[in-house]
Amino acid sequence: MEDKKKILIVDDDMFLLDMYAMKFGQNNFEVHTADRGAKAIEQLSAGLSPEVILMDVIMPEMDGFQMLGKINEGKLAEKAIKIILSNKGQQSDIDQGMSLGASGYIVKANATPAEVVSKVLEILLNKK
Amino acid sequence: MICYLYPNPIYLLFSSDVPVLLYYAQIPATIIALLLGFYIFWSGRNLLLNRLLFLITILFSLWTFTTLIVWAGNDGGLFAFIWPFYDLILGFIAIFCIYFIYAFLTKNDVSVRLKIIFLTLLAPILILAPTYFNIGGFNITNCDAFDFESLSLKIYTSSLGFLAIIWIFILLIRKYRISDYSFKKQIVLMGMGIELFLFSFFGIEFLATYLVKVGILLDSQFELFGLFGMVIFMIYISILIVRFKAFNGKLFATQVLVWGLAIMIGSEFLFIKTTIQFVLVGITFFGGIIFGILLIKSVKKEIKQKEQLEVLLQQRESLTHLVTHKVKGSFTRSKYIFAEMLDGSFGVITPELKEMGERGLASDNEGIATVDLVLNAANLQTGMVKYDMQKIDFKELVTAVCDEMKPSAETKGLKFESEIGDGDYNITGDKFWLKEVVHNLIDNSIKYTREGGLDIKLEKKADKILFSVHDTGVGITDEDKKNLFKEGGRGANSVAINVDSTGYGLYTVKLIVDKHQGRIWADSEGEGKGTSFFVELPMEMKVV
Repeated sequence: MEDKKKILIVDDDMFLLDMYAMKFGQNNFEVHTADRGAKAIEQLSAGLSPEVILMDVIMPEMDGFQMLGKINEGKLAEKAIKIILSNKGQQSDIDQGMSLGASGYIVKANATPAEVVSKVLEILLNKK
Repeated sequence: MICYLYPNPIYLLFSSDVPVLLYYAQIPATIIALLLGFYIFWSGRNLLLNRLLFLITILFSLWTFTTLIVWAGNDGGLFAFIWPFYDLILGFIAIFCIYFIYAFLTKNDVSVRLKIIFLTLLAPILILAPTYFNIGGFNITNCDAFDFESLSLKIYTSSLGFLAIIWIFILLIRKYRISDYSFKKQIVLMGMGIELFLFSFFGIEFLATYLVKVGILLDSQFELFGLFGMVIFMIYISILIVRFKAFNGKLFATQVLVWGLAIMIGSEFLFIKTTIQFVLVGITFFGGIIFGILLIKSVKKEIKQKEQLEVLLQQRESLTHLVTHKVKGSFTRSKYIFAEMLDGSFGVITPELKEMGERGLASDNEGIATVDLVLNAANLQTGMVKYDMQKIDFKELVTAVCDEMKPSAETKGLKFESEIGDGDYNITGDKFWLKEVVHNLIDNSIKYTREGGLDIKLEKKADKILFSVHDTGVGITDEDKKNLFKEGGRGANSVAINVDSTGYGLYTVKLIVDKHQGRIWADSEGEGKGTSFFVELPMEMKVV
C-alpha cells in the first residue's frame, strides 16, 4: 500500500477547510489543518514535515504571503511544496506568491475540490 | 592684495563692474534650485535620491557663488583661493548627476566599486586644481590672474560633463527598455531634464572658455546662458513631483516654479533704463504674480480633489476586498457543495437532484464570472492592474481565442468564420488583458446573436492592426450606442436578450484598449441588423 502523503491545509474559512480536508482525505492524503497562519507555523516549528503546504492568502493576523515569508525565514518544512489557494487571482498576487517560493497558485473559485486535488497532485508530480 | 583699479564689492558679490546679465542668470537659477532642492531634501531626508538632488543644487549654488566672487572681486588673494574650487565643483556636479540617476533608476545606493570609479574620475581635478597647473598667480599691476584656466584641465572637467551626459543616456535607455509604462514616462522626463541641464551647463561653459581662449570672445559672459539649464532641470523635477509624486513633493513644486519665475522677471528691474521699460516690466511682473497666485490656487484645488479621489479609491479598494473575500467566497462554498454532491461525496443522489446540482453549479460559475468581471473593471479603473507590456504575437492570440470559442458558437447553431491576414502581427501589449478583449468581444457576439453567425477579422492598417467581430445579432440602437462603453452601460436590447448583462464587459474592454493606446468602436445599422465591433491597436506604443 502506497504511503500517505502529508498535507497541511491553512485556511480561515472553516467550511472550505473541512471541505478540502475531506477531499484530500478521500484521495489518500494524511491531512493536517490550521485555521490561522500562526497555528500552521506552530505545527511546522513543532516538527510537522508535510510534503505539501496549501495555504489561503486572505487570513486574519497573518496573511498567506506573510506566512510564506515566515516559513522561508525560519527554514521550516524546507522540502515541502508550497501552493497558494486563494480567491485573489490578480497577476500581481500570483507574482508575489511565486516570488516567495510558491510552486503553484490555484484560484479557489475557478476549481472544484476535485480539481484542486488534481492540480496539487500534478504539481507534486512535476516537482519530483 | 587689493586691486584698486576695480571698485570694492559689497558682500563679496555685488559690484557695479559686473555685467547685469551675471546677476540675472545666477540669482534666480540659484534661488529656484536651492528652494526646490531644500524642500525635496526636507520632505524625505532619509532618501538617498532626495539627498543627492539637494547636494547637486548645493554644488550648483556654490559654483554660482564662486563665479560671482571671481567676477565681482578685486582681491587677488581671494581670487587665487576661490579659483581652484571652480573646476572641482564642476567635476563633482558631473559625477553626482551620474550618481543621482543611478539612485533614481535603481532606488538603491551604488556599489563600492562604482564609488571608487567616481573618485578615480575626480582624482585628477582634486590633485591638480589647487596647483600652479590651474592658476599661476595674480598680477596686482593689471588686476588679472595669469596662467589660469589651463586648457587641459578645462578639457578634462568638461569631458567629465560630457561623460556624464553619455553615461546617463546609456543608463536611461537600458532601464527604459525593461520598465513599465508609467516608469518609462518618468525616465523620459528625468532624462530630458538632467541631459538639458548638463548639456547647457557644461557645453556652453566649455564653448565660452574655448572662444575666449582663441580670442573670438573678449570675456566668458556667454557661459552664463548655460545656467538656465538648471531652471529647465528644476521644471522637469517639478513635473515629476506633480505628475508622479516623485520626491514626495506636491504643491511646493508649483510654488517654487511660480515664485522662481517672479524672481526672474523681478530681476529685470536691475537693468531698467527707461520709464517705458519700467512700466512694461512692472505689468509683466504683477501679471505674473496674479497668474501665479491663480495657478497655485488651482493646483491646491486639484490636489484636494486628488486627495478626495484617493480616499474614494481606498474605500473602493476595501469594497473590492470585501467582494473578493465574501461574495466570491460565498459562491465558492456553494459551488463546492454542488460539485461534491455531483462527485458522490455525500452518497448516491437521485437523477432529479443531479440535474438540480448541475444547474446550481452552472449558476455559481456564472456568478463567479460576473464577480470577476466587476472586480476586473474596478481594478482596471482604479489603476490597480499593473500591465505587463511586452512584445506579443496578436495573431497567435486571436487564433487561440477563436479555437477556444468556436465550439460554443457552433453549439448554439451559429456559423463561426475567421479571416486572419498574412504577415507579422507583433505588437506591444499585455497578453493576459488583450486576450480578455478578444474573448469578451467574441463572447458578447455569441451571446447576442440568436441566428446567423459571426465573422472575425484581423488585418493590418499601416502601423496599426484592426481586429473586428461582425455578427448578425440583435444590433444596437442609436440610443444604446451612446452608453455602450460606459460603466454599467447596458443597452435595452442586451437586457432583453440577456437579463444577466452586467454592463461591465464592454467597459472593461474599453479600459484595456485605452491603456494600449488603441481605439474601440461599434457599428450597427440598428435593431436586429447585427453589430460590428472594431479594435484598432498601434504596433508600437508611444511614450506620452
